[in-house]
Amino acid sequence: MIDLKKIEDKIDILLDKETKASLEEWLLKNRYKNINKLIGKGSFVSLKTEGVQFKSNIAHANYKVSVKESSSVPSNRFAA
Amino acid sequence: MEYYHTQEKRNEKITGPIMCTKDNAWLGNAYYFWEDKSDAIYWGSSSKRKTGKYEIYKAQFAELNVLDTVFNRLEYEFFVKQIEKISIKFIKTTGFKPTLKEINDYLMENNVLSEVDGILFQDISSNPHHYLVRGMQYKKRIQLALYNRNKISTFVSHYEGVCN
Repeated sequence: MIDLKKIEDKIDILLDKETKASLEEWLLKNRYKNINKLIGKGSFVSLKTEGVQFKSNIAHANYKVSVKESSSVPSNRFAA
Repeated sequence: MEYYHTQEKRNEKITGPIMCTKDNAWLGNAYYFWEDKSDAIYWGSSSKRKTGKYEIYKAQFAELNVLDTVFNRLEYEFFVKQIEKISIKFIKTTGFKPTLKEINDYLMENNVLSEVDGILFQDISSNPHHYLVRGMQYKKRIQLALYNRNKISTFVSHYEGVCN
């Protein structure tokens, strides 16, 4: 048989002692712990970034523009 | 009383239950058992899909000191009162509603349930065959969250199935 009174007393004593600061600290630690669990152990290493240069030749495009005209109603007209 | 523990099928049989440490486990880190074999089967086929097959183990226990929130009205009301008491304290003092995991961690870290071997609880089944009446959730889906592994007296392989 479980002693419910004993458990309730334990909870009441525990909660009576808690303050805004203590509970906020507990929440922060708990959430920090969970984030660390996701990250894993080890130290942070900075990533080496490398720049990439994109070049474009406007005078000689390497793509074609389709100029085919459509007789159908543009799809956004249906919204009206 | 017999309870059922579901796991994905492995190369070797396990000799004891595996603790569930998922953040969304109803009652925190514990060994979870189903009371009804059909719930164990449904859980295996729908949620233990890693290897494509699942296994069900049957367990028996020595005298359990269980907080019975399913059939014992006094213990159910006690449980609800304590959970709400802790939640209200968190909300009023910090402005944050605690998550399921935080409530469980708080109870465990402070050894509140140290004298309890486990908690018997119920929730709603998503198994379409669990209820034979459409729209009427007349049957409990019961689980035991066991904290004290030493109370397991027998644990044997019972059934193997293929996932859906």
